[in-house]
Amino acid sequence: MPPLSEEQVLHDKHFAGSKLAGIVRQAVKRALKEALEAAGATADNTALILSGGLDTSILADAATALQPFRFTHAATTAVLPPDYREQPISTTSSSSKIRAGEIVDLRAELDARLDLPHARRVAAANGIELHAVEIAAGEAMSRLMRDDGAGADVGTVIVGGVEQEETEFRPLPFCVGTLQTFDPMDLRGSVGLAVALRAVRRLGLTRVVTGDAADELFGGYAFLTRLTDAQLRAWIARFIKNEHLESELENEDSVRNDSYNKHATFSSVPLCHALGLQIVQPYLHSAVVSAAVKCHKIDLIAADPLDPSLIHGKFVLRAAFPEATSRWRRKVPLETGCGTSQIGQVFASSMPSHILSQNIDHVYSKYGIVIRDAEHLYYFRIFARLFAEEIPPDPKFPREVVDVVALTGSATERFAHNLSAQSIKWNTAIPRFGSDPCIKCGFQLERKDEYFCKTCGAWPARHGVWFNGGKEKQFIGFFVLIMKFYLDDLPVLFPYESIYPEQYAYMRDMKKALDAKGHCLLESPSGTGKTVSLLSLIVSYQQHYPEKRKLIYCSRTVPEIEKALAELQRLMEYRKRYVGNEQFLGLGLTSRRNLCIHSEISKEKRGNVVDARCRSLTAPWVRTETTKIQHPDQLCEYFENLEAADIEGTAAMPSGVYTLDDLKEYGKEKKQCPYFLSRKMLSSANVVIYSYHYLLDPKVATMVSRELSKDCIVVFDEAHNIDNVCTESLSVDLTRPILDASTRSITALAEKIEDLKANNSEKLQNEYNRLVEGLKEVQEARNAEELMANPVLPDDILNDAVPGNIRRAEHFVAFLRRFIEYLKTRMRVMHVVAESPVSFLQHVREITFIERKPLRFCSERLSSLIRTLELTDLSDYGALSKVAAFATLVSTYQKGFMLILEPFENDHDTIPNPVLHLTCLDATLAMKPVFERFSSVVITSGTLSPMELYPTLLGFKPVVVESYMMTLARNCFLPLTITRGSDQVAISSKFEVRNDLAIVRNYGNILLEFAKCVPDGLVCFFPSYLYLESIVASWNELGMLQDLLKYKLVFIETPDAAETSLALENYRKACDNGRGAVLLSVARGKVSEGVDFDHNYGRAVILFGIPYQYTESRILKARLEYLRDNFKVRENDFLTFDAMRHGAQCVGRVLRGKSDYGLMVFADKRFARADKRAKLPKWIQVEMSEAYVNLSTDMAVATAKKFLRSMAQPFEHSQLGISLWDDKLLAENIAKDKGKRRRAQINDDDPMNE
Amino acid sequence: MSEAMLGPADSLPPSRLECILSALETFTQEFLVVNPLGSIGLIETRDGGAEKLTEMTGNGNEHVAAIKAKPNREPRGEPSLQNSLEIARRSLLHVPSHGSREILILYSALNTCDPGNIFETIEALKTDNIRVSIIGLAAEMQICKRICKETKGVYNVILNEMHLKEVLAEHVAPPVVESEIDTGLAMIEMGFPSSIVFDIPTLCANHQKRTQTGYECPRCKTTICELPTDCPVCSLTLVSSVLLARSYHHLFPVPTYKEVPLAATYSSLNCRACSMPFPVITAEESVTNTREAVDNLAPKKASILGSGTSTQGLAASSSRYQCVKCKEYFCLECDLYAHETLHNCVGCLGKI
Repeated sequence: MPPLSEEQVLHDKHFAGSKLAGIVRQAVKRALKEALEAAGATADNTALILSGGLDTSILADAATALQPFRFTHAATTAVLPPDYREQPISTTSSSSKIRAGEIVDLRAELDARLDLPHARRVAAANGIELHAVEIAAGEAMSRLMRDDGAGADVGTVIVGGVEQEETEFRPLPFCVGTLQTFDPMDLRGSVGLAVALRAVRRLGLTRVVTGDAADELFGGYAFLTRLTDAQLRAWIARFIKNEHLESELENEDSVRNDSYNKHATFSSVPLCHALGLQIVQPYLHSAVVSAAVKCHKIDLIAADPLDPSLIHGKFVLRAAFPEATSRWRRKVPLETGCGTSQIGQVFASSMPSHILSQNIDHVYSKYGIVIRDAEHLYYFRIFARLFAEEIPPDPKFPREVVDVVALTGSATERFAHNLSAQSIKWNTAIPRFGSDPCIKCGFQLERKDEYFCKTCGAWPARHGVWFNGGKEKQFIGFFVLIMKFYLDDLPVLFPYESIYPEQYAYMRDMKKALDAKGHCLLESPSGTGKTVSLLSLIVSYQQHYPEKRKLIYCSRTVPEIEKALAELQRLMEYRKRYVGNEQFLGLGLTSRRNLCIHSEISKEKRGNVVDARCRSLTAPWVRTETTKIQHPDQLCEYFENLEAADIEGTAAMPSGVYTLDDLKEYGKEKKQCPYFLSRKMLSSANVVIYSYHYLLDPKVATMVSRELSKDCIVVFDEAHNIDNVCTESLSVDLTRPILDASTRSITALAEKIEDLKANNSEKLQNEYNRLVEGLKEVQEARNAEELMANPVLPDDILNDAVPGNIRRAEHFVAFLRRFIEYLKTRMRVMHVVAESPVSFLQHVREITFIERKPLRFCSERLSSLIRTLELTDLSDYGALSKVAAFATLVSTYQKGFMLILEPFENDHDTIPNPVLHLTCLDATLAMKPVFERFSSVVITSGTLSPMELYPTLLGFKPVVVESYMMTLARNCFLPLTITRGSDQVAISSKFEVRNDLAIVRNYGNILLEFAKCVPDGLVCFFPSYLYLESIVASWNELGMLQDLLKYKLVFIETPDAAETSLALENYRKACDNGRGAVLLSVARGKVSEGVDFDHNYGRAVILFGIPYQYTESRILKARLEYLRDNFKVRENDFLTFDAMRHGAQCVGRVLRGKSDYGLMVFADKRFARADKRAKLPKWIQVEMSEAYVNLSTDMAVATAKKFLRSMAQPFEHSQLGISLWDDKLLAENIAKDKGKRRRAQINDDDPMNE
Repeated sequence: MSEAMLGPADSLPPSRLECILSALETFTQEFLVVNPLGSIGLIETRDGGAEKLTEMTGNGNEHVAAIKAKPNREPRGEPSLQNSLEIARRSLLHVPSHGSREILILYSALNTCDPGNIFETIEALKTDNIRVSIIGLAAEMQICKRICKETKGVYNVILNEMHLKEVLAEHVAPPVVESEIDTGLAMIEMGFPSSIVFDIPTLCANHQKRTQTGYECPRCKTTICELPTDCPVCSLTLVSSVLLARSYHHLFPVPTYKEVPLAATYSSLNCRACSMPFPVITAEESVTNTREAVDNLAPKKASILGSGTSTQGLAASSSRYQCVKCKEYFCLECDLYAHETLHNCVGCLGKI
């Protein structure tokens, strides 16, 4: 091929006549000259590290042109492949004949990758003496890498044509030690360089010139060619900044000759220093840098002039030095050029994979460092030999745990590193586990914007980079990234591989509340994993902070408790795998009926029977010594064992999480009673999961929950109804049968007392004495242990002794009898009475001369009496204790209560069935002790909107109130509001119009049409049983029910629980086998609260009308009035709030997870109003677009059909990134979050500065 | 066909029934073209029961006639999934082991009226190795989903007419024979009759009609007018090799070739099929172990996935595609040719 002319070479449109090439040329020449002068380099003491590539070729050629200096020595390393044959340098010109400036096309040569021929050519062209260290591949190369003394000979060094045996120099340990790294990529190249440098040293030369930094400044790397101009320039700018070269740019004239010696970005620098050589890096000269920043992508990256498919970097350099011998050589990395890149294969073949994986596990468990392959392992071993120093284990090792855990090996091995990795001291310049550790090896990363770990070669070396494809994929099979993240300083371990965004937000906000030791109110849609986020945050919180605040998790029903326990168990399994064994006890507590393992009692079905029979076996007076010996069969074996163990102090349960079944299992195994065991363990457990009532119901709370300490975290899950639970727990209803039963109990009591008087009057006397002492003991206990206050027993009562007139047992019995008779007379009144407790008490005093004070002590006095009489069968006294509780409540509270007597069940009934309600109107009364007692109370549910109301109703000040959206990859639920039928008649369940034929028919049509187009299960909710019955009857008359039956079976919820559960069971069956079913139920019934209709069990929910409460109810009226007067809550607001939360609860039944889908149909014209809609949870509101809020039946059906079809399509799109975060996305978002907060802070600060 | 077929057309013009029936007609014809050795039987369900419209046969005309027959086009009553499945199962029991047994259901209703426990039917279908695929016309039903999942079939719910046609077309080609169970298949006796032109019209054995062109059964020399068929005299299965090949390639498709990753050297420089040389990969691109190459990977991947046509993305590929079985390299053109036209792998055939 004829040599190309200069014009041809520069034919590129951009360079023709460009000044830039000239500038660069001058800059490089000047840099070389000044650098050499500054270093005091002469021809006798300086060598060029000649790779034969463009950069060194330019230096060699430029120096030749730059008389009088001229390189005389150059060194290079070459690991030659076995089949390497020296090629004649060129067919057209022999080595000696090459002139500087002659263009030689090097692309065609077979060994274009290897440096050696190119180096020879450059050396020959400039008359430089080349010292090449040639090493044969294979065996010799593995010797090159050896770290023991045995294989020290490196190869043959040809120095000036004389072969010399190299001894004592072991290049690999030298490089590992000098560079303090075990990154294979770095070491491969460095080893080659080190051998070359060593050769220079042996020649007795003292200075070396390298071509470092040309690639960085002029875009030599292949990956840079893919960047845009801006990106490329930014990349180069970053390089310059990191190298601290910018200061020189600003002051171009001041040449700082020594500047380039300070930077250790290039491994040549430390290696030269270690060998006692002075390094000269001309390309780092400020002149070159300032020339480089002038370049744009178009100047740097361009196609080869001969072969446009080749893209070259450093184009401006190539243009600037047309005389360079290696002008058009393609860029190859250092290690490829010197041939050491084959080393990886040598190592890979040297070790079987199972040995390798054992070794990898070993290194991980001992050092906590992730090894990638055999080569990496080998380098690490050298690294560890050089730097690791074992120190005796420190008992207080820091908490940082590397986030990556090998999946292989046993769990114990996996955690060994926690201790042993800390017992290693690293004598490196880079700290381990510093402020910014690499995720794979724990060594400090150098810069914040660095994603590459220079110590272990990991990329990405930090979370927050999402690396799609490439090398890291290999590891994912081998190692798994734990979902662990930091909320401020709190490490949170999340037991799933990915996390919903709302879960993260939920945890973040809850942590805020816990830190502030305040209460919080959180609403998160159903199916977004509230429970698991809650548990994982709180458990992490417990384990991280020394206070170990206990968690009390309250849920509504036993299945929900079971679910939470199972979730907790899973979480702790996970933590055990990744954190190691923690002292942790998680327990559930439920009634005796669910926990009893006694052979006979456990067969009983009814809760109160189980309780009674259990008490008859376990009461202290039954368990006397005599019965123990004479009638052991009258005692419960399990309870006795537990008591015995308790006395010995061996009753403690081993740490772990026990579900209710586990608890029973454990009890059976140990032959101890699980119920009492769990009650005993409550005080030492870390997490307790039980029902609301154990905290809210004063009768139970004193028994079970009094020993809980103040800093407990209390969580009420599914708490949308909590205000009703509160008021109900303090309300008492008395009926005629109850009073009759009480009278009987009183008689029985009197007989017992007579008996006792005759046989053992001492006991009664003791009791009397005790009562004289008063309730001092209780008070002392309350002061000492900070007992949870019982709202039934206010503080002032404790200061008093029991009044004299009820101290004696017989007096008390007579007193009660009188009171009951009074109540009976009150019940005879035939009209409705509503009065306050004050006027009631007044009336009591007038008629019976019973004072307020003794009434207050009724409850306490009765239980004392029952204890004294050693009564076991408490179920007989249920009615009586109810009356006693009534007496205590009515006389204690003047405010917040109301007495209502309703003589008839319904207004038009004629047979009286009187009920005396003592209703609590104020939910704060029951909640108050809880909020006062515990510093952090979390109230959470799927439907808490509108959230402003809860703090008022419950009387607390939350520090965090938050409602979360549901992030969805597809819109998996569709709320439709139907306001009119197909005949355009507006529909409503308003009382006045609800029985109109048009409305009944339209409702029927809605049901029919939806039954036709919705597959499998369809759930309907009606405002009341009454309306349900009447409308179904009308539909039957209209023949609509017959039509409906063609498409779906119809099931109806009734107030009877057993019937309803049978209906539910069959409903599910019909949904499973394709027959399809409709469930007609009531918005405040059992179905609307606890039953889930996931997937095919509920493809649509229809809400017929707004589920308002029965507004004519006197109790409700009283409560509304009370709320208005005391909390300034308007009646209508409260009613709507209550109706909408029940409505939301109903429609929420259909969606139980992100893979589920369903229709939500609101069939009432009033739903279209903004004030109603605004009270729905936010996550439903956002889906209610204007198009769907005012539909007629046919429009709704058409929309529904379309929705159902589209939802039936396979759901392939990954939710990742939209509604699901993996750890990388999470880290990004945490960072974003922090950034936002910081910005917010800055913004906050700003006004202050002004 | 139940009353549900009478439902609103929604997106199936002119009416749901007409649309489905015409789609079905096309389907049966296409099916028999693609599967000359296959046979179909039609079953319809109405009034809570199910009845066979046609027996299992490979004769498309019979099916078309059955679909067109007026009494068969009247929807009434409720559908029964279980009854239809049971009838279909019984008719499929006779299918010899070399054939695949499949049921395809076009289901318009959202409920089913079954006499017994449908889950038992599912179990029976599973033991008989019958694959059930269902095309729902309205919405997703759990039972259908379950049937398809358990019998390894496909469940689709169609969006509109176009989608219906697409989904039906997917069912035309038979499912791939699973892994290596073909070694256990029994030998099938088949005859490959030769084509004859008669000088004088001759009666064919299957239709008793006069014909001048036909085939002669190689075993009993009976005259037959059409292929494929079973010989009416000696009941030998009579096919032509062309038909056999057409059926065969669906059952044993050519495995997808894998793209060969970049490497320093390759075992071959030419495509195995067309012998054209592969483009030469230069040194720089073959390097994968350098630091910059790792940095490089993410954007490279992105560029391939993103634009797909950027020169850099193409420059980085090895242009070689490897057959998993014979390990030979092919160029892209030959890859396409082998999969779309030839249905055979040149490399694998060369090794036989």
